[in-house]
This record gives sequence, structure tokens and C-alpha cells, in this order.
Amino acid sequence: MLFAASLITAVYLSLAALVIAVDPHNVYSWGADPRIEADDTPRDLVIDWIDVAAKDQSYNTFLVGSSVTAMYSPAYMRSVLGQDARVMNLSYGGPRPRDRDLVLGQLADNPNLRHLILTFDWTYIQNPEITNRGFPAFLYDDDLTNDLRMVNLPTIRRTFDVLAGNQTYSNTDDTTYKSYIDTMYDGFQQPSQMAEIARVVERGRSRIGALSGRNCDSFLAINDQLIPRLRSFAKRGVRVDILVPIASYAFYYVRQNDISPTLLDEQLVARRCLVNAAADLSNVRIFAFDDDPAIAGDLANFREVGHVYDPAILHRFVSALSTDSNRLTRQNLAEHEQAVRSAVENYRTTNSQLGRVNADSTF
Amino acid sequence: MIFTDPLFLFVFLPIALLAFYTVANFLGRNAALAVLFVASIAFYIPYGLFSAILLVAALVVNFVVALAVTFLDESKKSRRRIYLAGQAYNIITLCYFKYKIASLLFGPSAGIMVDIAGIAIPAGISFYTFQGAAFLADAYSRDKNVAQFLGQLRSLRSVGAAFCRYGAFVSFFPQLIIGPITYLSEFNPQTRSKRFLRLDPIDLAVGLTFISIGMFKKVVIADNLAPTVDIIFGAAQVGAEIHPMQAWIGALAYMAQLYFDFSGYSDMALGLARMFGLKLPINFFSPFKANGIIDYYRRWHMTLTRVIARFLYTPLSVAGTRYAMFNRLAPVPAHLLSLWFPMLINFQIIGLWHGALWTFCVFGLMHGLWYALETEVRASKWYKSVKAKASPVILGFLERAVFFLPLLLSLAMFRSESVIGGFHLFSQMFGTSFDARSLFNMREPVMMLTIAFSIIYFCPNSVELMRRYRPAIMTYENKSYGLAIMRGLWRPGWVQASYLSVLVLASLYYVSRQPPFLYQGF
Amino acid sequence: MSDYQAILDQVAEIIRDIFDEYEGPVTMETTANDVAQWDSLSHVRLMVMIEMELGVHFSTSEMQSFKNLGDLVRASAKQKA
Repeated sequence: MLFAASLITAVYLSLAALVIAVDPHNVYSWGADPRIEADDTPRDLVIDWIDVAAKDQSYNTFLVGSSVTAMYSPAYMRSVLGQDARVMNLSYGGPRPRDRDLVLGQLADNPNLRHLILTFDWTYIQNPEITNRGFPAFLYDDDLTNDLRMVNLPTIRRTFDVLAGNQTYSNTDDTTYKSYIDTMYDGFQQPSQMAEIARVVERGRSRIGALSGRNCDSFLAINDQLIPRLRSFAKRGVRVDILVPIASYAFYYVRQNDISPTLLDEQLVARRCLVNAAADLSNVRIFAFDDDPAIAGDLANFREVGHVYDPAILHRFVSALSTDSNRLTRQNLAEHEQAVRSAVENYRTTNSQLGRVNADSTF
Repeated sequence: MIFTDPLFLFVFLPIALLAFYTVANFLGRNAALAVLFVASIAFYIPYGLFSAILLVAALVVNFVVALAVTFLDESKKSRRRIYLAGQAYNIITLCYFKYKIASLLFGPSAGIMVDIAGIAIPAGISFYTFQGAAFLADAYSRDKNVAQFLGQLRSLRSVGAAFCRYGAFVSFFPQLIIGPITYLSEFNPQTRSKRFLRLDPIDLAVGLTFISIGMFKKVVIADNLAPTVDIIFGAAQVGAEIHPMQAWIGALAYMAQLYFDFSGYSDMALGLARMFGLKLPINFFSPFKANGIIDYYRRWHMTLTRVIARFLYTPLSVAGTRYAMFNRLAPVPAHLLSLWFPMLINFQIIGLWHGALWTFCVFGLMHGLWYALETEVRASKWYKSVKAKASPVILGFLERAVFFLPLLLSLAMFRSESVIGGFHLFSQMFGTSFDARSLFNMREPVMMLTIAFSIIYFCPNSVELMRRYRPAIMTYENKSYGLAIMRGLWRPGWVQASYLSVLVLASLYYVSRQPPFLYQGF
Repeated sequence: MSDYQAILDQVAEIIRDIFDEYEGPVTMETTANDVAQWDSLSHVRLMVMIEMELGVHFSTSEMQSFKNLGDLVRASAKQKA
């Protein structure tokens, strides 16, 4: 009994010591100096690799997004932004205010950072302390003692990899990811799905335009986290481009149920607050596309109400950074807001592939 | 520090044990208790320096007051005044720091007063305050343990030693943050026993067993139910339409989460204390196997039930009964005074003890009414005649069936983020939103729930399993329910050690895990 | 001793009155566990009843500290003496 306990303790402590000494996530100053394989997209592994990427001075451009931008590979981004852009895609699913802020904090330490591309996800209506459950926030806070929690099987394996001299990290899930996305799209493009959404839309129509009563003072994740970060990036000359992800109009109806009953209003107010606080900073640009019903109104473009699938739209989304189109500014804000609001309020479920959808239609 | 933190288990605990037994061997009882006291303060400091100062202040005030009421003569009027002042300190600090009374009263702009109260609620304040208050009451009523525990205080040195003993008793780290709320009459005799301070391998083995079981309950079972609970209660809070099946799964998942969370922590507390050769009072004894709310409160968070019954319910009930009997009230008003009012107040305090939220008020009201009603039913002629005739198995089964739903609903209210959110969840559980959007993948939660409730109903609890080693001080006399065949005995050995190692490794895996959420988050 | 017996007789009468179903013996060793109807609620009623009949007064902590009827009888005898 005691022997087993001592054994577990001894093994655990020596593994912990080893992991911390080798530091495969590169969180400490003595850390291993691994590289992410050229042109690799870490996707969900990114949560462990943030410092590996952030401390790598060969990158000058970071895409900090969510599941809606996880598919952009560095090569793809380079083809859009030009060959000088050495891009790392730090997108992971379901970012929340606190972990997003931790990521930006780690990036701020990279002296070669020139260009930051950020998505302005719906999560910014939440409170600053909300954290993605899977995000290892303990690695990036001030408390060193809780870093012991990183001692898990993948990290131990990674530690031995590093010890064996393997210093490049790669994520081999590209095919899995692609088939996951395709299956998702096929599953979504079904008449039954569309009819279901149409029903939700019709049922929610009376409440969709309801005002939340929130004003900019109440968006603390924007005021206290995002804006100060943007200011300091802008001040040191980093170009910051903020992309408002394209959500379908149906998104506001469907997710009204579990995000917030006044989701639409809160999203638009949050957007307004962002523009008012950041659009005039030098080096900061904000882009939005969802005032176009051909994009946000047509569910044929989506693999899920909040996730664009159509390759042409995905391309337009990032190429706007080069063409400087679809800017959201103080001048066009009111018009943009009005367009989105009325498009959502008057939305009739549409899918150009499957035809017009009625709530009561039986396919 | 938290019990499940690897830093606590693998660094703090071994060092504390080593220091304790080394000092005990060479320097004796007082020094060993001083080590416990210092270790407990070190354990507490990560919760915040201000909280630690507040804890030490509470210890000093209560200790001084206890000295005064112990050594002042009965005839002195000041004795009572000092006692009341001490208890007032306890109540006021609790109200001020836990309930933020100041910010409620003065609003957000009342300057520095509010700023102090604006810090996070000091960890464990409701537990150590109650333990300190119970100790003071014992001192005031001249419990013989108090005088014996404080000892002869002839020199400054002996006063210092007495303070360290007192500090070790109240802030003993296995029970500091989440109980059990211990009486001195349980702690003092153990520290005077000849066996105390002697390193007994059985103590360590029993302690490790409890720690492994408790950690597994908390980290593997409770924490894996948490995501489902968060999703459903979050959705209920925003008034979402929820599929009835998922609403039920959410409510059940919370019931199981709360159970395994709290009983896991309590098991760990018993185990940690046992490693230092000390037994704590039992806090949990298979509460969900209870046959009604009365039985439930003799099995759930027992040390809180008994301390509140002692200081609140019984005095109120005695006063009410006296009034009713001396004035020869009719049965109905007599019952209101001796049972219903004291019971409702009792449960209102139990509810609010968890925090100043309306949901806890409603929870307290539900349980108060329910407890009083069940008391009346069980006292009625009708119930007695049923009980005399019915088969105990069938009756037990029926009682548990009646017990389950109100318990589920009241615990769901307890967890809800608002009273409206709670009632909304009820409406969805009994609603017809069969076409609501699915909020989570059901397979894993359903499997977890099946495992969790099988353990709850079919397995012996850890104290039953370990009963050979008298792992805890029995707070109430409780019957062991469940199948006799499942009530095996446990003794340390290789086989058991390997079972436990599996539990520990599983827990460690989850402690350090970053749950996979590949592609899921939207 | 006879003091105790007199008090115990009075207490027994009250017990038989409140716990009407109990038919076992009432002695100095009787405890709440021996009497099915004796729960915390009826305990308070019993105590107050004894206070009234015997003209004594118990504090609440005293009421909870009695381990058996003997403790109660001795405490009452002490007050009456």
C-alpha cells in the first residue's frame, strides 16, 4: 500500500521534473526550442503550442481566430497576403474572452510581429473571466505552481520526443479535418435540416429584434481586454486586421436559444463598440461581410449556421485584407448595422441549392 | 491549495507528514500540533494573503474570548458580555465578508468599506467560523474538553502552546476549507490519546485509501459531469427551449455532480486527517439512499445539520414549545410554533449559509416545508398504521420513490443561476419541446450518469467499506442500506493497492488533462 | 435514591402519556433509541412537559446532553434539592 503510494509519487514527481526541465511547450525561459513544421496548421493542438509559435521569431504574421478560420493554411494565407507574410494560424475551436486575451498576451512578446489578424467572435459579449474549458490557462497565468497540471500523457510523450532530438512539431490531422468538414457540410445540406431551421426562424421571429438594453460600458471583454491590447499593438506599429466572422442570418435565431435571447442586438452593439473604440486607431482595420444577403442569407454557403463552407467566400474573406474592401468604419457603421438588423429580422430561410424553404414545407 | 492539486498531493502533503512525525518523535505533542497549525496556514495562504490575515484574526479573537470565559468566574457579569462579543465578532465577520452586507446596504459607491468587502469571499469562512463559534459555545457552557485542551496557562510559553493547539484544531487543513465542522469533544480526546503521534502504517494506508477514492469521485466522476450541467443550466438561464430528455439529464447530472464533488472532498478530508492519526466526524453517509428528507439530512453534510440544529433549531423549537404548552395553545398553532416556524427558519439559514442568493432562499423554503411536512406525516396515525401493515421492502421502495423527485427539483433550484432560470428548467423538464435543438451529444453523459447512479445506489460508501478501521467519528446513528452482498470489507494489501493505483492514475490523468474538444467549439 | 425513584415515576407517567405506543420498561437506563416514537421533535415536547410537571428548568444544551433518563432525573433532582 505504502509502497504503491511512494512508487506513484516518485514516478509522478520525476516525470513532472523531467517535463518541466525539458519544457516541450516552451513556456519557460529555459524551454526546448521546438519548431512547428513549415506550413503546418496546428488547429486544436494550438492550445499547447501557443508559446512554441509565439516565441518563434521567424513568424511575422499571426492569425488568431476560431473554428471559422481553422482551415486557412499558412501557404493559403501567403498566397493571399504576399510572399513576405510568414504566417502562423493560431485558430482553435471555441475561444472565450480570457483565453483569447492570454494568446494575445503571449504574442505581444514576439519582437518580429508585424501583422495580426484577429476574428471578432460572438464570445466578446461574454464576461472577461470566461475561459474555454479545454484551454490550459494555468500555463499562461502568473501562478507557476499550477503548471504541474501540464504533466499528462501527450506532454510526456512530447517531452521524450524532444529528448530524442525531434524538435519539429507537426499536426497530421489534415485529412481527418477535411473529411470532418465535408461530412459536416453534407449533413447540414439536408432538406430536413433546412426545414428545422425554418421552423426555428419562424418561431423566433417575434423576439429576434428585441433590445438587450446593453451599452458599450457593459462589454468588459472588449473594453478591458481587447481594446487595450489593440492600442498597444497599434502603438508599436503592428498592423491589426479584425475580421467579423460571417455568421448566417439563421445563426441569430438558432443560437438565440443557448447564447442569449437578445443575441442579435448584443452582437450589433458589440460591433458598434469595437468600431467606435478601435476603427480610428492607426494600423487597425475592421472588416465585415454579413450585410450581403447573398453571403449570409444563403445557407448553401454554410456547413453549420455559424460556419462558412463555400471556398469562394472563404477566399474573399481573407483577400479583403489585400484589396481593402468591405471595411467597417465609423462612417458606414450605422448603415451596416441597419442592413444586418433588418436582414436578420426579415429573414426567410433560403438555400440556393435546395430552393426556398418554408417552415411548413414537407420535403 | 486544493486537495486534488498535484502540488498538494505530491509536494505539500509528504513534507507536512514528514515534518509532523519527525517533530512528534523528538519534540512531542505541542510541537507536533504547532507543525499542523503552521502547515495549515501555509496551505491557506494561496487563497490570498488578506483571507489568511482574516483567518488568523478570527483565531486570535476566538482564542482570547475562550480564555476569558473559561477562566472568569460564573458570577462575573462580564463573562456573558465577553462571550456575546466573541460570537458577535464571528457573526459579523461572516455576514460582512461572505454576504457582502455592506455593499448591499451602501451600494457600490460607499468607498473603502465596500472595497474590503469587494474582495472574493475568503475561502472556508463559513466552515471555520462555525467551528470557532461551536468551540466558544462549548467554552461558555464549561465543556470539560475546553479546560483540558487549554490546559494550565502559567507562562507566556504555555499560552503560546495553547494557541497553537487551538489553531491546529480550527484550521487543521483537511477540514479548513470544506469541513467537516468538528467539535472539540471529538478532537481533544484524540490528541490526548497515547496512540496519537505514533506513526502507524495502518493510518497511512487507510488515509491513502480514502484519498484515492475521494479523488476519483471528485476528479473523474464529478468533473466529467460538470460540462453537461453547465450547458443545461446555462441554457435554462437564458430561457432556451430544451428537449425534456436533455433537461432531465442536466438535472440528474447536477444531482450526481454535487454528490460526488462533496462526498469526494469529504472522503479526502477523512483520509488526510487519518494520515496524521486523527479521525474527523463523518459528513456523508449515502444520502441519496435515504428514505425521506429527514433521513437525508442525517446523511448529507451531517456536521452542518447538527451544528445548525444545535444552535438554531433546538433553541427556537424549545422556546416555541414552551410558549405553546404554557399557554395551552390548540394543536395547530402549537405545531406551527414548535415545528413549522423553527424548521423554516432553520432551513432558510442552511440555504443562505451557502451564499446570499435567491435560489438558496427558494431551496431553503422547499426543504423546510418538506421536512416539516414529512415530520407531520410520519407522526400521523395514518402513516403508523400503514407502516405496521406494509412490508418494509415495499414501503422503503415507495418512500424512496416519493423522495426522489422533490430532491431532484430542489437541487436543480440550488444549482440554477436564478430563480427564474430554475423554474424555467422545471418547465422544460415537464414541457413538450421535443423539437428543440440538441444541446449536447447524449451518449457520454448518459453513460456517466448510469455509472454514477449505480455507484450511488448499489455500492457501499467508503466508510462502510472501511468500517473495520473506524475511519470516522459517527455523527448520527445511521443504518446501512443496500444489498448486504455489496458490503464487503476492505483490508490493505497488494490487490487493494493496485485497485487504488488505478483510481489514482485515472484521477491524475484527468487532473492534468485538457479535455479534447477537437473541432467542437463554435 | 428514593428521590430519584419519585422523579423517575413522574417522568415515566409523562413518557407513557406522550409515547402512547410504548409498552416497555422505563428505567434510569432508558434512552431515546429504546422508544420508537421518541424523535427530536417529541424530545423537545417531553423536556418541556417535564419542566412543567416537575417545576424545573433546563437549558437547550442541557436538553441535548442527557444520555439517558438517569441523566435527566439526576439533573432534576439537583435543581429540586
